[in-house]
Amino acid sequence: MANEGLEKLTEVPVEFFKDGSAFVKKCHKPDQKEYLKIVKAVGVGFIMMGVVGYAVKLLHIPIRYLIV
Amino acid sequence: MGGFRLLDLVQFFLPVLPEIESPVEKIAFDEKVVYTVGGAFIFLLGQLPLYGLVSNAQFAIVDPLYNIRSIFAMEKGTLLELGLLPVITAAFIWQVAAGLRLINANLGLRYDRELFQTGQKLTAFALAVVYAAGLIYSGYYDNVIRGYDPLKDSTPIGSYVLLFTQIVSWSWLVTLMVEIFDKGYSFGSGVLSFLTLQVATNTVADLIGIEVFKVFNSNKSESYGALMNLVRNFSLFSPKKNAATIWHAFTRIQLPNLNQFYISLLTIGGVILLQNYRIEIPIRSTKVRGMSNVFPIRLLYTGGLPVLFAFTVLANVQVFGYFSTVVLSKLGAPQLLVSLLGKFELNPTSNNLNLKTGILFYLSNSTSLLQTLLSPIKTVVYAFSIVVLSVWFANKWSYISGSSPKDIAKQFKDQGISISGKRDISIAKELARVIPVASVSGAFLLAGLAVAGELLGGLGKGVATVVGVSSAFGVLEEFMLEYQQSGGSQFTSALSGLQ
Repeated sequence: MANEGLEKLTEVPVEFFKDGSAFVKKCHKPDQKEYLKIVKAVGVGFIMMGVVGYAVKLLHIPIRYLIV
Repeated sequence: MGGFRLLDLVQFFLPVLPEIESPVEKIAFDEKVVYTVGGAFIFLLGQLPLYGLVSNAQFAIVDPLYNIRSIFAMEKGTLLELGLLPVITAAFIWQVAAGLRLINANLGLRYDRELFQTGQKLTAFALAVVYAAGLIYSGYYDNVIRGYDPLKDSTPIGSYVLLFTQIVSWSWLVTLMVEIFDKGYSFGSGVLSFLTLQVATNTVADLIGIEVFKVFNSNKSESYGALMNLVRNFSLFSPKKNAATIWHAFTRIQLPNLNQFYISLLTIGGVILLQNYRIEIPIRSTKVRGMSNVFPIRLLYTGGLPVLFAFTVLANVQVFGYFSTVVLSKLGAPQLLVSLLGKFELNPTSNNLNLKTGILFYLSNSTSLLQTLLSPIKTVVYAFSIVVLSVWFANKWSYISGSSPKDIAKQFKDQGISISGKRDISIAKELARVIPVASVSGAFLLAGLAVAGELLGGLGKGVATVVGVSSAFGVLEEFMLEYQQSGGSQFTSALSGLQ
């Protein structure tokens, strides 16, 4: 009984890793050119958002002096 | 009790709570841009300091929650003290309750959906009250309230009420802004948009922040940005001092360091790579002969949500754990009981309250690589709980989110699409073979990435980056889709007219 329970307990993760690694192997992966293109696009968007956000944050400094 | 539902209790609050009206007609692309930018601007304004504290309070506050701050956009000593924690926690409570059928809601019905959303909002409001009250009760603000000396004066009730009102009302405002985003006035989900914005802003600020702060408990002042500080203190003539400067840039705790930045950078690269792993299922139209295409199923089918869920659970454990230790010790519970739960110790250089022992210690992240190696049990328990929570949530989520295999199969049928070489009936079966595996293994890999960042000493930055970047993809995708559908923006056509 106990053995069976233990076997079931180990079976789930083993199955999970088997399925998972098979899935990842089957996956379509981006080649280097595609990857760099995406990195560039996301990076530019990210930095733009960050710089604008940071600019707004800098606006806080004068306000801070006014209210504190 | 027949026919009684927990959900119906919410309807008493329907008339009282403020509600964002759903848009009457589809919001135009340009309008959405304006809403997004406006919302983001208001959100960032939330980082103004609280009224009634001494200036630069963020360095003097004794901080027990420093390791979850960046994940939930909680800014120390500002209006955003609670950040997105109440909204996110409330949303997950309700989603999981619906997924586990603890509450009986048919989200296909308009009325039920309304009740569900109101319930979420109500929970977020209530949580904000609880967190704020807990923070103030625990004496979190005591040494930064202006004109108050904790040793001499009596309890400053006026200041407490003032702080409480500010924190809670801003948190409610954030909740409502998230609702604006979620109801289709903007791109993507509100919480995820705000998180992305916060992560991007902080990444830039951590690197090149130009404000100069006085370092607490020392007479030096340093720039906020790690790179900025390094460049400022760099001198060509004393190589010995430079080595110390560089070492300091990587290891300072009180202000952002370069170590955290590189961890974020690596994580961004990793997330982008994982995001583009996909399986392409060949599909064909059943209506038009010869039309064929591919339907991509991503490895990160559930995006950053599972990781966010796992950290939300642990963050709440931390927050409520901290509150209970304070309450217990104030009520005079035996010291042993309190330290079993968690024992905090002040770190004088960073003014953070570090956990030393107790249950909470094992569920908190490492502050540095050194600590990771020195306490292996904690490392394993922590990593294990994050991964298990993520995977569990991903498994559930792929069924409750409206993108389960069955739902997708129905969509296929409605649009007259079928998988090449398969009959109509077996579409759902085919999808059910791929989707759960994808979402679960995606969540596993992403959680692994986040945990790796944490163990290296990312202090939550790595996790915030994982969630931020993977949700940026969702927002970006919706943006591009809308852009193409609306045939471009009036802004761009106006701009091109100028040339």
